[in-house]
Amino acid sequence: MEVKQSTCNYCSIGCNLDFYVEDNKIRKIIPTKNHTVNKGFCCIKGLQLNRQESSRRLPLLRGEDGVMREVSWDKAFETFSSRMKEIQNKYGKESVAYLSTAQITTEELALLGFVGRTYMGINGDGNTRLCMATAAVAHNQSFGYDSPPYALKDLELSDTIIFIGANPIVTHPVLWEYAVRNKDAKIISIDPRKSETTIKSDIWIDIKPKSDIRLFYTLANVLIEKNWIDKEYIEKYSEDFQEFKEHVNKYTLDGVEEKTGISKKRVLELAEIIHKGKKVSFWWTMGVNQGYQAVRTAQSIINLAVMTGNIGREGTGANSITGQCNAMGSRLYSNTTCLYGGRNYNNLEDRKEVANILDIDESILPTKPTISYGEIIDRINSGEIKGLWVIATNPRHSSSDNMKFAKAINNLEFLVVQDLYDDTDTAQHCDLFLPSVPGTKKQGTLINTERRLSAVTPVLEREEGELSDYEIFLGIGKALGIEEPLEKWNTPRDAFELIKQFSKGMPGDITGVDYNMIVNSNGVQWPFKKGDRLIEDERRLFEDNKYYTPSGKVKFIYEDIMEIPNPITKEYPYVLNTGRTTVGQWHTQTRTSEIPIVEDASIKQAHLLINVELANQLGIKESDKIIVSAINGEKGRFIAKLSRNVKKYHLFAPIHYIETNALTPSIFDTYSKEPSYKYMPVNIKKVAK
Amino acid sequence: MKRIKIDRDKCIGCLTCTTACIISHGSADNRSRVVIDSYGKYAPIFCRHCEKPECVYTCMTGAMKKNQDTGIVEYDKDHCANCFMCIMACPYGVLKPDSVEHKVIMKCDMCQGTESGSPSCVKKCPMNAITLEEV
Repeated sequence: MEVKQSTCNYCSIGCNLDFYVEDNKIRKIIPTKNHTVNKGFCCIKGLQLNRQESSRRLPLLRGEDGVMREVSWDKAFETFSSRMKEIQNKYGKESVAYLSTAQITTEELALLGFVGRTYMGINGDGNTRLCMATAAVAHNQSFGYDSPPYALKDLELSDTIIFIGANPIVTHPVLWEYAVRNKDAKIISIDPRKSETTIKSDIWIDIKPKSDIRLFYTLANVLIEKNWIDKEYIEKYSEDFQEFKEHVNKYTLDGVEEKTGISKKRVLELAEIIHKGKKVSFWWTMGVNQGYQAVRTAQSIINLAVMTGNIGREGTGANSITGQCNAMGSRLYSNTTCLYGGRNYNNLEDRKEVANILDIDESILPTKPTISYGEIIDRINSGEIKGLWVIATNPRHSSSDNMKFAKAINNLEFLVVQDLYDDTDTAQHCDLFLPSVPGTKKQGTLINTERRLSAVTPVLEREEGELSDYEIFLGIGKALGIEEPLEKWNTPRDAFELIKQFSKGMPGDITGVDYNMIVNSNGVQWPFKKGDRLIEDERRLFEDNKYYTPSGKVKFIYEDIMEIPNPITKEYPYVLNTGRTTVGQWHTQTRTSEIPIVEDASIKQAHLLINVELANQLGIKESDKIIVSAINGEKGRFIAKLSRNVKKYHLFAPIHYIETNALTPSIFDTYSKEPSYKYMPVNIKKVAK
Repeated sequence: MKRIKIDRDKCIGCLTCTTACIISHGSADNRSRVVIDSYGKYAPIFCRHCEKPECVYTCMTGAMKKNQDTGIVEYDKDHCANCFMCIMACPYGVLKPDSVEHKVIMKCDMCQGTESGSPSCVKKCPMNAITLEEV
């Protein structure tokens, strides 16, 4: 039996797995022993990657009678090209857009950005907008580059670990293992819900929903007043601290309990824990990222780390845990929110550099970042966008306020879905379906949460007619008439070489990474410049205290705390929070509903966690059917699950069911345009029997 | 003997026990599982190494044996006739054949034959929902 090492393409940890292959079939999957990242362990999803199989080999085209029929790839590419061009000619270039993903390789994302953004001249955003845009913007503004600074190992080296809006026991079990291995650290979880991680933490800070920014500004004020700050670090390596100090001066302990639910005494205790910690690390994820003031909240965490000197040293850091397997690849190399490599669309030197690498005229490169995911849906509903290309994502399910996307589908003249599965909630409505292959049949690179490049190796041979996303993008590009410029993109390896060139001289420079270095290995973290030697396998940024801002200093960024834009009312008196509830189910379940082990352990219907006391008050019993109505006018049917882990007037719904995001709001962070999935006023009613 | 004790109230259905079981045995298959009961509650199902093991009583070849010293119900695939009587007899429905050749019985050995030496599922459970207890 042949054994081939590859990288799991679910979450951002990037576990490496050994695939045992015989007769072009995966017989078993075992996590790569002694791999730096996952150390011979993984979660159930990785072990079941053999279940990912292409739904079909030939594309499907909807006929005039509404029936989908198989067509050749040539016909599909030609149809894509002619229909999209027709729409662009009729309604303008930007009447076509795409919604993409962080579930495909960096090479594929780069090529899509080349064909879609550069040559079609269209807007195209990724589902990274739904999870990591906030962290990316926070990093860019504070550090000068989208640079998660840590190595996962820092969890093992901390004496104080603070999780904020993060539930790694469920979302990133392998990351949680790092914390478990650290027997000495005090673990603190800040979360309005008593999540699985809070249960296993030493301290649960049970804040009111969306009051985290208030808590962190108050903590900053207390740390300053007590002189529990690292003055030397602040002085030498940061800027705008004085203004920040004046800003947080108004966030005193006096109002903190009313606003956050955390008493003065507990805030003081938390400040003291941070002060006494020698190696304090802060780890945040969706509870922070998916908010209406999310970027500033993330920066309030960065500010705490910087002012206490807890950054750039082992066991420290303001550390954003990434969501999807290639969010980092998408953030830097998809040509959607920045020019390749984290470059600037407005910087002429950057533009020339990229154009030279691609051997194209600089003027055809996009001149601005894409409009956001939410704006694309809005423009479909306003009639400005008529053609949509959806790649490996499922917006009918996962977009916030998802009935808006349901309406958008009806407004489109041409919907193309490119996916592994032809039965996703979005694919069911498309006019053209382009079937792609699973990651087990692809070659490329993923970049994990700690900036580690790791190879996706084709563990299975493709069967005749099967095309990877990379080849589909090439086919579309050629049908659109892009010929010579695509010669530089013949294979994923060619794309990898282009990506390296894009990175040259940037903070994420990977010019020293030979592709063979990331195959059958521990991978390589960026930066890794030409001439660098790989001495340490687990590296963190800012050990030299030099940041990527023009001044070389980290910036304190802050603003006044916003009022909740959609507060609870008498009619909608409960706050709905959303998130993941199982390790086995992945996002919209398109990839995991075919795994029997996972299905056996998953509740089939949409369900809602409701506090026992509230349920009693409302006469709701376990497994009763309830209607949840939200302030956006949408309703959904859920099964009641009585719980003591949500507070009395809070409700929690798993994101794995399409009913949930019908209820989430069309409210976005000002800077990142990431949806505020975690706060929605709702009411509930028991369904009469 | 020490047995795996399950506290269903602590189980979060994360399948870390199932994952640990597969990895510990270097296998394609799990020897335990987690299901949802009719109330929507997680129900981890493990071999109980029964005092009166039906799988042993129904085994025609002696491949399934109760080790009187350790209390573990052991399985010897080399003596197995693949008759699946043990699968039919197990009152907990925990036994099943392997998924590749459909011959070998996937039977918990308390990780005795593995590098772990003691149940890997217990070691890895993040919620301490399964523990090793003397009974």
